[in-house]
Amino acid sequence: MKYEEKLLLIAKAIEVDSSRLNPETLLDSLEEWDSLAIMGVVAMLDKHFDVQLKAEDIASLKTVGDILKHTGAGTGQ
Amino acid sequence: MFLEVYLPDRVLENEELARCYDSPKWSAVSIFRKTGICTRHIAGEMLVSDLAVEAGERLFSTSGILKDQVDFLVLCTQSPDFFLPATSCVVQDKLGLLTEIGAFDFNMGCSGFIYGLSIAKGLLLSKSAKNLLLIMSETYSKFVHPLDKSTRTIFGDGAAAVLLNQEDAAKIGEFVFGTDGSGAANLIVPAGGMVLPRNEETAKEMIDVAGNIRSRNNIYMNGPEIFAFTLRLVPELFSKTLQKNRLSMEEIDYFIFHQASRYILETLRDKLEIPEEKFCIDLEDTGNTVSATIPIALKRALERGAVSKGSKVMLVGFGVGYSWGATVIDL
Repeated sequence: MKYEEKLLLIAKAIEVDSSRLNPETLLDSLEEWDSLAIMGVVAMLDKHFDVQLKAEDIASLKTVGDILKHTGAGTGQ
Repeated sequence: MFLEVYLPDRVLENEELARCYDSPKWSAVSIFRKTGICTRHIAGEMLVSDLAVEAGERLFSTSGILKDQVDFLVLCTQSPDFFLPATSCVVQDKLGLLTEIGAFDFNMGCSGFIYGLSIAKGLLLSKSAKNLLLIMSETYSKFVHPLDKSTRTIFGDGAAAVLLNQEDAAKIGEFVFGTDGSGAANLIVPAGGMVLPRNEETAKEMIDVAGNIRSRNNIYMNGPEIFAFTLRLVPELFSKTLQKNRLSMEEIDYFIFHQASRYILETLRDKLEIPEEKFCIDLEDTGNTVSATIPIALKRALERGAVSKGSKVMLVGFGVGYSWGATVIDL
């Protein structure tokens, strides 16, 4: 899957415009980054990349880049 | 099988929560969007034994079964009247059941009804009981901090009472269980047990990064991690349960999962590709009543005709512990 497509999926999960996101974006800086957004990302990674996050993985999500890292090894859709 | 439900009269609706939180992110509409819940019932001064008795009394009055016919009582709760004696002893007395009966509590949450059915099946089929009263009774509201949006918007109180005989037990299928205590800290009331008795320190309120306020005497829930756990876990539980019961998904008439939150349920439904009309999402009027969600949802499904006598229903519980379990029953 292309980078732009992945970014769109992340943006949709967090419910922000993808133009506001780049790999360095700090998730805490986004007003929309709440527990529902985290769940959106967990669901998105599971559905589109067959990746099931563990507690440590969730805790270490600090930037958009950290989310992108999990999209690398998946089969993608 | 007879099944009745009791929900306390006092209600907590999204409008009241919105006034309390006074923030656009937590308007009544946003709360519904986030949770799928409009109304929760709150026990207030009522105890778990009170809710259990109310559900039990309803059961006797609608079933026509006499109290003296019950020879075993099993009560599931995580907010008992006392550490000891068992709340089931209190309920035996308050309900006016015979003294010549067995009664005990067990401590389980979201998977409680599944475990309860397995206990009932065992006691009934071993002929240790003839008419077993199984009650789920939960009052998590007593643990919730009013300013903790993550829990107060989700949890509701309620009780469900089921009367099962040996014939009913034979219609309960095979079980799959699971336990993972490494997830204990993700849904917990830290203080009040033996590990950390309540004191001035544990009552100190703290504010978390999301702006929720709670003390260690209150319930804490790590929503995203619980969600991730259910996604990791439930699909395999689902397929193992079908396998163990030698059934295909198509042979199941209705699926009732623990009513944790609408988001979790919709995600699971999509992931497991269960047809919408066969999948129960029914927590709008009750909130998450923990071990009571499955029997309450079952009662409501019977009332609206989504299931009836002869329906094959799959029941799936998962959550606090972590603990999980599932089975298939023939109504």
